[in-house]
Amino acid sequence: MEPVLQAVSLSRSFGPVAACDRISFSLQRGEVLALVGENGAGKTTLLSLLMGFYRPDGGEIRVDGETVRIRGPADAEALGLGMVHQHFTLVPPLTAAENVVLGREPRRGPFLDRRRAEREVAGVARASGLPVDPRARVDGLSVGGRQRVEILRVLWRGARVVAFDEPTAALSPGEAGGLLATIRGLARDGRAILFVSHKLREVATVADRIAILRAGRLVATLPAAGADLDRVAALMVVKERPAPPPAAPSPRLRRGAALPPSAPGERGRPDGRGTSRGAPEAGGGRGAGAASLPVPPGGEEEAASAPSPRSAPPALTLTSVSCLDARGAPALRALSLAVGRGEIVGVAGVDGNGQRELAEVATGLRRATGGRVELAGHDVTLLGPGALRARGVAHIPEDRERGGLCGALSVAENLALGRASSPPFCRGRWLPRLDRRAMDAVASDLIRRFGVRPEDPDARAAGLSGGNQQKVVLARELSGDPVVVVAVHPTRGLDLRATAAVHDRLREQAARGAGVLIVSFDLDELRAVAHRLVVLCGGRIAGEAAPAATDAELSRLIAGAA
Amino acid sequence: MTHSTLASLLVSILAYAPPVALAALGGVLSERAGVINIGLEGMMRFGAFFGAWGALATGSAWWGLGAGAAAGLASGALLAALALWARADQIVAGVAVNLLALGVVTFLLEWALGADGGITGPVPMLPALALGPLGRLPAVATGAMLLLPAAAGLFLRATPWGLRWRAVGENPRAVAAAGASVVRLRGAAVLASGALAGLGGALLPLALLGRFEDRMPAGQGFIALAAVVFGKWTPLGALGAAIFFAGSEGLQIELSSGGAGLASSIPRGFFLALPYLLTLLALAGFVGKAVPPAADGVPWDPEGR
Amino acid sequence: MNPRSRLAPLLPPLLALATAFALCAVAILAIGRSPAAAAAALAEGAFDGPMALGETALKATALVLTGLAVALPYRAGLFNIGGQGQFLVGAIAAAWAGRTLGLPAPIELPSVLLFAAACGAAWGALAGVLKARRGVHEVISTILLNWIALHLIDSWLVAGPLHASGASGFSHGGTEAVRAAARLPLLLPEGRLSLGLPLALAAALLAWWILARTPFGLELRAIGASEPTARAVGIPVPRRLVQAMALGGAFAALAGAAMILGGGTDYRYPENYRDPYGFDGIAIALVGAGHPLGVVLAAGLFGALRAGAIGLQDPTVGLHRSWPDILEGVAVVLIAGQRLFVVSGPGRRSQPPSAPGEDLPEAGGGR
Repeated sequence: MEPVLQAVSLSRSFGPVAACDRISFSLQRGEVLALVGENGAGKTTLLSLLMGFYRPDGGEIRVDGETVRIRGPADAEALGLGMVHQHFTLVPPLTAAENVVLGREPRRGPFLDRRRAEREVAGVARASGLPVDPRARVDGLSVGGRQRVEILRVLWRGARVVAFDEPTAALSPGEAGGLLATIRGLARDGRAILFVSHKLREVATVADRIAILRAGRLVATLPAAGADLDRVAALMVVKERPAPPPAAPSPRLRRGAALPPSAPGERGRPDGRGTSRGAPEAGGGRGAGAASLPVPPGGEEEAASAPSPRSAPPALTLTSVSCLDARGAPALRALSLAVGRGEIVGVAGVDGNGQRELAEVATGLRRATGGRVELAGHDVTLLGPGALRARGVAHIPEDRERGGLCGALSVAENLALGRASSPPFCRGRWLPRLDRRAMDAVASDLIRRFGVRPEDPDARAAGLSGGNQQKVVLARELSGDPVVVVAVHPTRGLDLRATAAVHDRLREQAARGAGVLIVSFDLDELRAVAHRLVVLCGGRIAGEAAPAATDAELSRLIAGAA
Repeated sequence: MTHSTLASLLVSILAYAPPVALAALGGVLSERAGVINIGLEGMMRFGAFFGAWGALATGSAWWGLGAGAAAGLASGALLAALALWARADQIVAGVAVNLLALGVVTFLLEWALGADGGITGPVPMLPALALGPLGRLPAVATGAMLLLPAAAGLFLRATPWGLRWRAVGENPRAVAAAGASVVRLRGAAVLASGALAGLGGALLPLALLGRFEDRMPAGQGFIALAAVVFGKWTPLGALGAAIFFAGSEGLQIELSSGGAGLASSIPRGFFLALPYLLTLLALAGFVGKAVPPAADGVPWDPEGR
Repeated sequence: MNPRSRLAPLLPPLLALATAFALCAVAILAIGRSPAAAAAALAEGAFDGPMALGETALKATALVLTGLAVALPYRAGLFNIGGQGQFLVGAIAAAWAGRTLGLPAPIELPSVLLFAAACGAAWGALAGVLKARRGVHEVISTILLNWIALHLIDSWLVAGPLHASGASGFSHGGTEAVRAAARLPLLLPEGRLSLGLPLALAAALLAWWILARTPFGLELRAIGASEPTARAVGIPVPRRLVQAMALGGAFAALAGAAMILGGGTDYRYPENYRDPYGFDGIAIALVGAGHPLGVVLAAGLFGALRAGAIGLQDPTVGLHRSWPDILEGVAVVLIAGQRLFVVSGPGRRSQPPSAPGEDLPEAGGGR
């Protein structure tokens, strides 16, 4: 039988990076092909090439055996290719039916034939087993409901090939199960499905074949029936770079030197917990940090093991912390985690499982809706980013442009951000003014110490390369001898040398006695720097591993965690 | 207040509301597509001047009306070029239109029409209904005020184009993903906005005053902007807001001319400031929350994030 | 370190101005008049003699201050369209205080100025509070506040409680004139060159100092450059937004006070006061690239053009006094559309932003 969709040696590079490198596959009617791989393996780029968002540099796409050129979403649609996006492209105040027909509206005379639209959408919904009320406004639907509208839009337009990009990432387990059944149903009806996911377990249940992408290459295609998930996980992981063994955490630290300067009122707070923290704690296999924690309802106490010194409270302790994400949905669910002094804890997991919110809660940018955040034993749950920073929390954010740097300001000014009102940056009590010379001196010193190029305090931050921008962020955040360092994807977009430099800085901080929390999708990175790995899933700690765990073990923990 | 004063209040509302109502409708159309039109004032000014000029040049108020709408359309094209093509800040682009209208119209008024003291001679007016003691009702303006918002509402609600129009102001990415052109849709919206503002402006000389004055439109474009917000970005809402605003002004005139008792002791300034104050309170959520379209004022960058 | 790069932001407005001048010259030629004669008449009207200088100074004074009222909040990412309302608030506050305070002579003028600035700051801060607390876009709220100020002042204060009682025996419709001690001292025996101009220049210096040399100014600029970053490093963004709007309001109000106390309106708040300096401030700030020095230069230029415009109407020149307005409009249109004209400007990106393969074009959706 002729494959309905075929990719032949499809390639696309972005600068020096080959996001897709000579990828070939074919897809039959009624078949579900799963594309699996780590973040950045090229899955999303491949879908973008098929849907016409990007043009390939080389290779070709064939539909029903005919070579086609796809110049945009409209071309893809005309060829019967449709995609269900990870981030929905819906118009919230419009109804489900209006969203489905947008751009190809049925008409009656000059008017929109609303009744026909609703009838047709209801018909497609019935036929595909997707319960959607065509007249419901999309902003009143759940995440799963919105996704059903997205699927209906693709089906209503007559797609024969439907691509799903991480479709279960945002769904509850119940909704995810329903979606997988729907996908099987679509395949039974003769459609061909491309299914992109991290989660090997659901891949195994829904797919006929599994294609494994790694660093832009398609490394293997296996039948899903009876596939060895350990082997699949091992194939997903890049093997070329052997991870250097992490430096051992220094057990004895300058205790107290790095204690945050807490407000006087804080110290005397009669809440009992703060004082009990200093008491000797039961040892045991679970580690000192966890022993004194009240057992959270979720029972994630195993997450809190830490090689921290016995008598000092951990640098950072989260106890049963919950919070909402930007859209108001629960992001952290009673998460407990302790980062000991001198310890580097790596947070692994699939994007969107609470990593961003965890970092935001730890740095005061997001308010916890429940639970307790402690910094070196002091309750800081209600403090904002400024107060936390003053108490020794450093933040290396995910996005340098939105959280790390002000591109329009100079390097010297960026290095003074957040502490510009205190010496040495500021002089004068009654008329506080910037001490430009001191700012330049500090900047020159930090530029030298952190190796920022160009060595010009007056250079605009926006003009620096990504690696040098990150060095500026590190210089600002780490030069204040922080108690806790929260680093989110700290090496994203950096080259090898810059990456190594960032890792060295983080190790340095840990050796100095700071607790370091690092969030990354790059397992190699986590294994290279972290003393301990925790896997985040659905806003909870789903598991924990030593960095020495094998690639396969780690991959499986992450991929199969849900 | 007697019945006759009530009736004359009604007539004055129906007479004075149309320019603001049409400009506000223009504002609604452009903001629903995601472009804030701060330039309404300038577009009304162009429309008023070219409306008067057209009527004087042709001797026909109808041609004047057409000229006013065309001038508004042209100023809409300028705003579209700046805000969509050059991707300028929409506010800066609107301010530019206003400033240009200020200088250019003042100059043309003297150079082309030779107007002394900033006022033209009498211009041909659109037909009006004489209502005896109640005054004259500018029937064309009133009719347009009542018909066009209804038509626009129908257009937005019931046509495929209207659906895309609303979608592009809420989530342009969805429209682009559905294969429609965001720039073209928004461009059409700004052009329509300009034409309606020009039409509204042209009513000032052609339906209300019978002449063009240099101070026109004297802030009515900004009142229209407030009416857009107070009418919660719907055509009929904006019409209601324009009528309400005109009513508050008319009431103030009635009260100050013949009123007695408590009401007349309230200073005029409060009545005049009331529309703006209420709009501000509505925006702040104290008087029914006014929520703009999600992508209102957000420039479209097809490759951005 | 590199002075060229620091002045680079002033280049597009300069090009726009030059182009606007050229376009206006061509237009003047096209209607059969002489651009050279127009330029000469403008220069004469702006600078020839103490009367002309005084007019230029008076207008430049107001424009510097209303320009700063827009430029300073702009650096924090706020677009203050409310300069006109804040200008009027300052004017009426100065007119009232200058009539009523009656303090000893040396502190009368500073007190009146401070009072006016405080009133303008409060009026400006309103928009800041609405933005910080209620998420109301400052552009819309300041436009509304402009008209609220205008109507309350015109049709309530000036028409009612503050109306001149007619004790002078002659009714002029405005408020009563301010006391002599509250007036800005004239610097020349002739004309209206007063202490206002040095004060406005000092205000520009102050604005520059605040922005460039204080932690507060650095925080404002950080907010304008990247609000998420400002928030992440612990800057209290809502409070700073309110303060930036208050400062803007104070500058605009000082412009209003300078008009009243500097003799621009016979030392009283006139009936139906309509000088549009607050609106002009937007153009001044745009032409001045949002920089205090640029604002001073732009205000000086347009102050001179406005003052000199009287000379245009001379029969030998035969032009309308609205030409400076046209020039201003054309310049702002060109600045707004600079992406169309600057050939070497940022071209269309051919590569996706940041991490390849990480984001689809529509990732991040919504807005």
